[in-house]
Amino acid sequence: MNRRPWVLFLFLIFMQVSVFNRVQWLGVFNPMVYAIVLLWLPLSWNRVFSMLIGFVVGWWIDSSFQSGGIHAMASVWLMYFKPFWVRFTVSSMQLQDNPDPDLRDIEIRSLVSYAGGLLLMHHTLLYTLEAFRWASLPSSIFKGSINTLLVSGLLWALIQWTRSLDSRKLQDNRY
Amino acid sequence: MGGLALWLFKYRSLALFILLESIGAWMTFSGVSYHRSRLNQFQIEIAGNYQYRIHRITRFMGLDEENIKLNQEITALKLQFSAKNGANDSIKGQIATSNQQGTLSPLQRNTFLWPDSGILLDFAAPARVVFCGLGNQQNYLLLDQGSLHGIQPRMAVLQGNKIAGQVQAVSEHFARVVPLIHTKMRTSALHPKSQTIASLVWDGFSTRYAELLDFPIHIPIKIGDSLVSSSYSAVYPPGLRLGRVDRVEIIPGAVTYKIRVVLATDYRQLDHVQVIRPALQSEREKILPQDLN
Repeated sequence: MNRRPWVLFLFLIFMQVSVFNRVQWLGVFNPMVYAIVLLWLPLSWNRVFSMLIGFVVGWWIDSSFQSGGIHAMASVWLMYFKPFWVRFTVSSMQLQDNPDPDLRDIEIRSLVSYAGGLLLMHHTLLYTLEAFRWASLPSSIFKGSINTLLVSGLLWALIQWTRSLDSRKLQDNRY
Repeated sequence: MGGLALWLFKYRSLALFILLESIGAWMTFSGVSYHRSRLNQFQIEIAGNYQYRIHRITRFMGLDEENIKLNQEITALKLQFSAKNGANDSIKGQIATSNQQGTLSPLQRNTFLWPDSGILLDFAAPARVVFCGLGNQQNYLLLDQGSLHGIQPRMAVLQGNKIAGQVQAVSEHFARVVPLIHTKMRTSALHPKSQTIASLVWDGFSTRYAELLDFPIHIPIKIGDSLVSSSYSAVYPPGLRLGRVDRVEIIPGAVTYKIRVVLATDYRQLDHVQVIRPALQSEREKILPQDLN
């Protein structure tokens, strides 16, 4: 649990509010990077607590977006389904060894389905709630898929970067 | 109360999930005017759809009663129309002349014209089919009107201008009708294009088709030609629709065609009918030998 990059989490939420909220390229590219924080939070946390954290984070984003409570709803959804979803996507062997795996410890195939699936659900739900009409459902799914790819790419980059930071720290400690 | 608390504790994650989602929804609908207006639209749509469905159901349930009223009204209007405007002046003139000469009986003086067809009647009443047996060789219909309503045997049963059958027997409140789809029924049919008369009989198979017999092979007849009742029948007034030619076969060596006719009346959808009697029917039947009627 202590291995989580907590400073990065705060930075991502700050970036979401100050930078990514303003990104509306072509009306499609509007990545929700704060979802990475929710995804990366420990699985070992009590689900009630996780959902409350999700709600607070979502509410914070909603306050800056002036979007009512759609981010809070999507975040609570993500936090509620995360423990179910991990059982479907991450191998049971790995969960037995480590019931609270860090994203950096999960093998790439499982990570794609675990993180990609949750991000897709979160983004699609969010854009569907934002549009709030049946006719916009296909475009919401499309928008959700595009932004899921973007955020997944960013997540992959962050994982690689934090791994390299960790290995550098280990080397420094040895010397 | 304690049970409820235990249940809530057991499902606390789900309960909190629902609670937080509800709070989120409330925040959205109370804080964002777009979502609030969409919700209002949605509510109006739901309420409108619900009301529309309820209206359709109640309208459908009341349709039966409406049909009875309409049938009665159509018959009444036809009678009223014939009494006031008599479409066929020449026939009316003949009746008036006959009346002046005192050659019509009191009963026959009460004749009237059936609108749209120029048929002279002395009785017409609406009725409803309450039983329609179609699975036999000799089928029957049962009407909800009987002798108390003026129905008598040998009256014609019509569906608009289409022939459905003839009344065979009556009780006080019901009438039994022999339809065209009865193997012992033989109806005189006129082919208006050639003014040829033949016999329409039912072969006992499909309720939609009958056979036209005795139609000479030297007279041209085509698929789609209509067939109407001829003036030979004492029961059916002439010119009422019987059906149209559906298939014409030439049998080698035969002097008549083999003709299949699609009947004008669909017995599977027969509900509201009119019972009529052509004017002067009894006088006509009296003068003919009994076996020719």
